[in-house]
Amino acid sequence: MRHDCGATRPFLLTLTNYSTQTMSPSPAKKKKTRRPAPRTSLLNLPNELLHKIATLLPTLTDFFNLRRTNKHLASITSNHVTRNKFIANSEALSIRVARKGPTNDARLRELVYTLLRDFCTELLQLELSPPPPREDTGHWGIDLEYHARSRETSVRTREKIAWGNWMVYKEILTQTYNKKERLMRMFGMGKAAKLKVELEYRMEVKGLVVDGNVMPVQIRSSDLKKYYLIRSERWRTEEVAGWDEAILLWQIVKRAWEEKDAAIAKRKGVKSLGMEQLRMSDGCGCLVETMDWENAKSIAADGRWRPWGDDERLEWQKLGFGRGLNIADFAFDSHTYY
Amino acid sequence: MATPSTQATVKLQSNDNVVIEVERAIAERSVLIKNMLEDCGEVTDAIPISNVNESILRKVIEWCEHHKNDPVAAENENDDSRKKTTDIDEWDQKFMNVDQEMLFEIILAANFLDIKPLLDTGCKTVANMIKGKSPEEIRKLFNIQNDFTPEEEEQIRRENEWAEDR
Repeated sequence: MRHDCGATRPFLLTLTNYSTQTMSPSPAKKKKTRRPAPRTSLLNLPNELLHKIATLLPTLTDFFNLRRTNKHLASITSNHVTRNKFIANSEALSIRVARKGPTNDARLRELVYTLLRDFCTELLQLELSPPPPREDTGHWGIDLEYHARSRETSVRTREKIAWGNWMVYKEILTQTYNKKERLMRMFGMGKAAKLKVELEYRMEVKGLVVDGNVMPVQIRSSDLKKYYLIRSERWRTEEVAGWDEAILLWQIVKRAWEEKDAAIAKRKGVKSLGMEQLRMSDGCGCLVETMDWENAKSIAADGRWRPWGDDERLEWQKLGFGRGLNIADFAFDSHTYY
Repeated sequence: MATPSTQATVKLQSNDNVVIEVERAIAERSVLIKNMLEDCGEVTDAIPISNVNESILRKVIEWCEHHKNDPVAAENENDDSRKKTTDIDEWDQKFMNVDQEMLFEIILAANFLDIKPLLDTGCKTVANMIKGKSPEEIRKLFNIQNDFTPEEEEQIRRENEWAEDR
């Protein structure tokens, strides 16, 4: 018997394969009657199994198509845990970015989706733990500048927010209002989480301290992306620190260092450090209030200020404070330091 | 504490009261049964598998027989097993080529009996059935009622729009 409809309506073929026992033997008589639901159907599965199935879907489009089928499945796929699990699935987004995206645009979108999650996590953390007031009321503030860069040029807005002793500049370069809106909805964000959306896949870092060594850096966005991918990989495995991250950080810092080292050495009061010393660092970074390392009184790391004296420095090193802290936690404007 | 048992076979009783005798090694693919046997030692009575009927139980046993020599995944490999989302070996693909009701019953049985590789295979099969289909095709495939209002449908379509390739 021929099934000519198979070629033009492939899903029916699949339906037949999977539901031979539930198909009516006389479809002509029951043309308008909905096929009775089998005793056990997809929707009868417990939520945890639906969650598991959703996280195993191979593409983002499949994930969203499942979401559009009905309310119950929409609620399953809108669940934050399910989404994160879907992203964390190693064959999902981040790896597909490299090899499976059908177009550059699709690859880019998936990359943004992956990285935004990481940025959101970071910024949420940053928002929830603002630095405590400093004991010495310094006359300066740190500029945190989040650059949102987009391939598509569009309106650029900048907002300055007082945040404890910090000044946070939110610089937004969204593609279009609608895309931003979509991203916000995708992550279920409300107004309170606005800052989370405003980071995109490129964050500029202009300076950092690595193991107490201060340097301005200009990290290339491609390196930073790679760095973030490694970080997101690490978060999946819940490791705090690892060699790959340290090596990559070393590589990108080394490049920046070579470019800037000579310039730094000429500056008064700025300690220039040798490559060997830098190489010995463990890849952890923090901010300091001044490029003059010897006179620095405080450090900022993990969104908090800490006093910084010789004792503290030793203590910090002994405790390994800053482990897991990454330079890209902080993006700050170069004029603050030099 | 129970002494280690050398029992070669165990009896499993489906919820429709059919008793099936299987090799202990095969039955122990189920973590639930394995733990039970370890706790109880020698078990001469049939073990009631209350959530699974005869046909599904036989199907599950068939899978366990085929996979009895597979290495048991370590607990911390749970997430790694999900890496190959759509990879299902050929025998498993044929095994899972059943009607939907049986497929979902197998998934539920695997979940109940705690047979993780079988559960993964079942869920991957369903994920593969969904793969590449439009929402309407998914509804038809699984006989799902569209309970969105037109407004809700439009809204959710707009929310997902950014992910579509155009």
